[in-house]
Amino acid sequence: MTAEDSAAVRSNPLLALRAIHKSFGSNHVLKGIDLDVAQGQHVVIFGPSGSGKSTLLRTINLLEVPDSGSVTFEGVLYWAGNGTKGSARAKPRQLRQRIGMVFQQFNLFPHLTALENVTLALTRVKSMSREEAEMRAAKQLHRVGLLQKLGSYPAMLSGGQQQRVAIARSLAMEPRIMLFDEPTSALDPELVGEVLAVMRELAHEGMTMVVVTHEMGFGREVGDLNVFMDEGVIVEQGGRELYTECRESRTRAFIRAVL
Amino acid sequence: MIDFSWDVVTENLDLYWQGLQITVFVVVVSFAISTVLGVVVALLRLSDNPIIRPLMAAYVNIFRAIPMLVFILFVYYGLAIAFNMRFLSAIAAGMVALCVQYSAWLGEIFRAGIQAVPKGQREASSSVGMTSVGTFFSVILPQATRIVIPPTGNMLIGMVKDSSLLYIIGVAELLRVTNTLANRTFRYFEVYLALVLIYLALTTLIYYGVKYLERRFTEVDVLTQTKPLRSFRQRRRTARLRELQEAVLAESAEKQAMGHRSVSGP
Repeated sequence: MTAEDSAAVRSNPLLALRAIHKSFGSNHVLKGIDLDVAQGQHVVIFGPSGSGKSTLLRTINLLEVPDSGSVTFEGVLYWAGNGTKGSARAKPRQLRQRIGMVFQQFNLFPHLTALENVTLALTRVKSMSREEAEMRAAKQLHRVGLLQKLGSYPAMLSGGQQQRVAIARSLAMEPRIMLFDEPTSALDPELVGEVLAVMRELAHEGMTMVVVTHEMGFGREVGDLNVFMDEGVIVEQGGRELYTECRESRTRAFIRAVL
Repeated sequence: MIDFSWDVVTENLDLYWQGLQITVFVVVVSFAISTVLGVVVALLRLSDNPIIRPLMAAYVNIFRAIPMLVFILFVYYGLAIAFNMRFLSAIAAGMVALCVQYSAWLGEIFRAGIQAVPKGQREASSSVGMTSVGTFFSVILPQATRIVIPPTGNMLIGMVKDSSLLYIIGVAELLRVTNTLANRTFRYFEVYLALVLIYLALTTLIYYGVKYLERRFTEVDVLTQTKPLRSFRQRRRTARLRELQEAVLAESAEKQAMGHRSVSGP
C-alpha cells in the first residue's frame, strides 16, 4: 500500500460512525461514539461488560438503530438520527447484505442443515440457483474445515463447529466487512482455538473485521486498531502498542485484570 | 346377569357410518378453517397496530370464555333462528360456533409458538439481508410449526369431542344418530359403548398422526446416519452432498496444483 493509498483510505473510510448515541429506556448505553474503519483494517473492541461494545457493533449493521448520529458505509449514508426518513438514506437491508455478522450464540437455523444454513440467503437474497448456491456454500464450509458436515443439523455439531458454520454463512454473502460479537464467549475453552484459527486466517487474507472480544491475545495478534470502551465512550484507541503502553489508567487496570 | 345383544350395533352399522361421515366432515372443515383463522389471529395479535392488537386480544378472551354448548345454542337459536338467518342451517351454525372458538384457542397457541422462536433467529436472518417476510416463512414459521404440533393435535382431539355438542341443535352427527338408535331399541349399553369405541378410534388415529408429524420434523443427518436411509428423498440427498464434497475437493486440489493457497477469499 503506497502512502497515497493509505491517505485515500484515511480520508474515505469504508465505514464511518459519527456521534452515535443510544439509550435503552433511562440507560444511556452509547454516549457519542466516533469510529472509522478502513478497508482491510482489523478493529478489536474490548472493555468491561456493559460498556456498550456489543451495542456499538449492532449499530454498525443497524440491528440496533442509534437515537442520534450517523452511519455511513462505502460513502452511502444509511442512518442519520431518527429525523431522516425515506429517500434521505439507503435501506438497512442493503447495508446488511454487504456486512457479515457472527453472534455470540451462533444463531444458526436449527431446522436447516449446515449446507442449508449457508444457502438460504444465497437463494433468497442473492437469487442464485440452488446448484450454484450449494456449490458456493460447500466451498465456504470447506474453507472453515467442515466439508464433512454438510448434512449435519446444528444440534449435532459442537459449539466450535456451529460457530464456524455461522462464519461460513456470513462469508458466503461476500461481505465487505465482518462483525464478530464475542464469537468465542459461549464456547467451551477447548473449542475457542478452532474458531480463532478461522478468524486469524480471515484476517491474514485481508478481510476487514470489527471484533468485540475478551480474547486479548487475539487483539494483540491481529488488531490494527484496538479500541477500549467503558461506560458508553471510547476511552482510548491505538495500534498494538496499546496493550503495553496505554495512557489511561482505566485501560491499564482493565488490561492488567484480563491478561 | 345382563343379557347383551350386539346385533343392535352390527345391524345398524350404516347408521353409525352416516353419523361418522357428518362428524368427520364437520371436524375436517371446521379445523381447516380454524387453523387458517388462527394464523391470522396470531399475526394480528403480534402486529404493532395499536387498534388491531387489543381488538384481537378481546376476540381471544371473549370467545375462550364462553362454554362451547352455550355458544352453539347462542349461534343457532340466538342468531340463526331469532334473526331468521336462513343461510345458517343447524350444521352451518354449529360449524361457525366451532370455528370462532377454536380459532381463538389456536390463535393463542400459534402466537406462543411464534414468540417461542428465539430473537437471535430473526437477527441472524436479517443480518444476511433477508426481508422480514422471507424471515417469517423460511426461519420463523418452520420452527414455530414444530413447536405447535403437539398442542394443535390436542385441539383437534378436542374438536372431535366438541363436535358431539352439535347434537343439541339437531345435526345428525355420531351422538345424534346413536341417541336415536338407543331410544328406539332401548339397548343403551351396547349402542353407547359402540359410540365410545368410535370416538376412541378417532382420537387414537389423531394421536398417531401427530406422532408421525413430530417424527417427520426431526432431522436426520443423511451423511452420518448409520441406520439404512428410509426415503428415496434422503438417498438422493446423500448422493448430492457427496457430489458436492468431491467437486469442492477436486477444485481445491486443482488450485493447490496451480500454486494457489488452498484457502482463498470469496
